[in-house]
Amino acid sequence: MKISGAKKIHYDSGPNMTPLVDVVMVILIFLMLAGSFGTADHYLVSDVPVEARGAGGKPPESGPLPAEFTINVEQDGPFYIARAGNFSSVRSTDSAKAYTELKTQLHTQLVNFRNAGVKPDDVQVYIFPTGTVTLANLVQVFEAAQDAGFKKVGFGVRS
Amino acid sequence: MRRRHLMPEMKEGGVNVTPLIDIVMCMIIFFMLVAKIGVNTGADPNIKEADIPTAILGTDLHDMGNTLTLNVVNGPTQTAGAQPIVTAFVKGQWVELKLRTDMAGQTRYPLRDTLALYREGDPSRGIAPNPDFKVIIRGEKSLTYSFLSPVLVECDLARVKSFAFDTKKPS
Repeated sequence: MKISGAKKIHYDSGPNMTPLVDVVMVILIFLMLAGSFGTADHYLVSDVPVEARGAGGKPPESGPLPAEFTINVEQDGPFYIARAGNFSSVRSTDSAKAYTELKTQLHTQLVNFRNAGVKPDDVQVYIFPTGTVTLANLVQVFEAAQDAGFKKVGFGVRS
Repeated sequence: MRRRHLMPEMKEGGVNVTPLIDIVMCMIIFFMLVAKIGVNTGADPNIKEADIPTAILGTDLHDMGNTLTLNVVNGPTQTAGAQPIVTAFVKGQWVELKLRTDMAGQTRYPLRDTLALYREGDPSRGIAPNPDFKVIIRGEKSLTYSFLSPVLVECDLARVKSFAFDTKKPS
């Protein structure tokens, strides 16, 4: 007795794709879990050399003397006080509000420079923080100065 | 004699997976091109992402090859003349770069020397100068300027003209 099913011809539709799909899925899941895409980090860049003032301060390098603008920053509890020119800006508990206030006041200073015939690119801003100023506050002042339109913002050290 | 044509029995293998494979392959190629796996930016894992300052402005540095990330942490505040704790990923290993060490009557400046090596190069070791060398400073929000400023001064003494603060985008 013959088994009737043995004579049947089976046409598989191409190669068996199951192992390929398994491997590809594993690779896909690995890449999705292990990969990191556009990181949340971004950078505040300063191309201005550190300005040292006081004893041991070095003279400026050769070239035309730039217009300098100094922002003194002090720590006040968790907040900061920025003083420059004819204004002082006290950071309030509302960080965004304080940032806007500082930026506006710095922009006014920039306009004053413009009105005096000084190009914004020629103004060098030096932030002189006291030793207790935290990086969080420092970054905020630095960012406000850049946001106000100053192109060259650097840091100073009192020796 | 009439030949009897037997229609072959088609064995349908269930669901047609060809579109699935097409899509999955496209996704794999996308992830392979875009994902950054095993890229060490030099960020010290001890300084958590949540602890670094936030900044609205800021740019992405596309060429990290010209940079060295200095992870700066407050030093002991009780000790007179305390130095910041600076770590960096130099030549494939984590090292602590002290600002100044006094050993056997000799004063050395490991941080300055390392930065100068990156910036000025060393012809005897086949390291070319890199005028575009940039330092990335990564510190916690609580890092005080008394510990940060000596690092900036060392950068300046090593003739590194450009530095950047590592910040995170506000959530």
